[in-house]
Amino acid sequence: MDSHSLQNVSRSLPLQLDPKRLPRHVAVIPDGNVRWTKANGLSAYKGLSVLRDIARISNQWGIEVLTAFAFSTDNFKRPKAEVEFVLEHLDNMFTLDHPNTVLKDGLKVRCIGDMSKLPRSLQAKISEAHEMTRDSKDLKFILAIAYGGWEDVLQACQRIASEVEQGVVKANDIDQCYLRKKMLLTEWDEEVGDPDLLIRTSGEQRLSNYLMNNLSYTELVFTEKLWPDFNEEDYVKAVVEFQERNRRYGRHDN
Amino acid sequence: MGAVWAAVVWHLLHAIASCAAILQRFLDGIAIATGSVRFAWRSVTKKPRVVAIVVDGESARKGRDEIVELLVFLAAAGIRQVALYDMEGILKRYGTYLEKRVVSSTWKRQLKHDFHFSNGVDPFPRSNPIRTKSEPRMVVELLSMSDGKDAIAEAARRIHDDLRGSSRQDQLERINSLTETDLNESLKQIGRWKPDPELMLVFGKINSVQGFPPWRIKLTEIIYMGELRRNIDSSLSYALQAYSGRTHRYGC
Repeated sequence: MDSHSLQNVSRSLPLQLDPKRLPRHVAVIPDGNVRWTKANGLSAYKGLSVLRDIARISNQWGIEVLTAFAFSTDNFKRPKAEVEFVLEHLDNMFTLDHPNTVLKDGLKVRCIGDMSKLPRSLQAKISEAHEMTRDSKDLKFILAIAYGGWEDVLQACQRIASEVEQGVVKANDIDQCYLRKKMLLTEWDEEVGDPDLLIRTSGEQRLSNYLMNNLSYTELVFTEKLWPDFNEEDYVKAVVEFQERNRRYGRHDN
Repeated sequence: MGAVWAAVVWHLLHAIASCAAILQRFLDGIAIATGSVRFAWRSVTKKPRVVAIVVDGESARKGRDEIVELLVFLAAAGIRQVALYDMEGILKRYGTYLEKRVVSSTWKRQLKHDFHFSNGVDPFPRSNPIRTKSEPRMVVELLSMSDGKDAIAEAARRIHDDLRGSSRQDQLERINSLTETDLNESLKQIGRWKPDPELMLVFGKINSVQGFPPWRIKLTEIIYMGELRRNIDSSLSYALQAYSGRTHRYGC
């Protein structure tokens, strides 16, 4: 059964989840890949294929947006071999004929970050992926690659300064709402909005320069599981925790 | 054959360590939620210097006594600076009241401490004279949304203000060469650049940073404490213990 057929199979929401309180936008920090790979071997690496699976599951559940911190600006400081390894796997995700491609799942794929830091071939594939999936009405699958939250704020400030200089906007009109429109996450599609739920794996309980200006109202769920071991059951548990808090205390509106 | 056994033993040890970590975290959660386990915070080997406390609106409105208790505990634990945050700025309105109660409470407990409260930028008028210079001091910043995301917008306006008067060419070059250092400098100029908290404790109904100044919490450990309540010493001890025991890996 190919991926399209799998996509179209009727799959009900897990019974534990309330369809009325699903998070509209989920963000993930898929942490723990290095530790998992050291324990299981490089050849067993599956961090990005797990990410693709979670994107498929999110789409099947009816979640509208999934934003993943796939590769941060800080990650470039890691050993060269490690960086090249991850970039190669990212390249596979955007290669149409590769088994790990995300381009055949019907999702709307978008990458945010400093694309100029990536190899040219990967930049080209990402541009093609944006064009290829532009008209999709399914899950918006956003990968933050070569991304840093504070760098994101800086680029927004640069663009605003440039717009003020050009007379597009007055300095006094710059407020939090205007700044938000220039952030990478919402700049290409305002309907994306800020995440309702952030899941971070591997036991780390920090935000690590991720979406710094977009997480004010985001419910944080931390799990001990290393990312490659994160499966649908763990995803259900995280969403249940989100729903339980919202049920007890009422949803917090932006 | 020996290599196979070695691999089996290694994986078994790894599994045991993982289960122990999971059990530890599970117990952390119970202790924090129930406040039922007592730990001697003095045995904590690694203490944060700056702690952020985020409370939701309801806790800020109804939990002033609990917040006083929390601040006194942190002072006794040797924490040097507390960034106390609620989104709406309710605690800023009660700043003088909180300061008086904290000072009074520390006197009653015979804790010799000096406190310095500020509303994020300016200090409150001092309600008590400085006792002696040798007494440990805790700075309490009272923060709200205006010190967070709103401050970034203010910094963005300031960046443009600094460019005025230059030629258009110079302005464009300057904009294109802006760095994080310039942004940080802009925040300093508006009085928003303060030490980053190593630990954030979130109280209330939601586990969210709720607009706390984002540039200060890139690497901050976040612990959700549940609802704010009285007799919170045990939960706080446990949170400090949990923070101390964590191995911090950087470079996500």
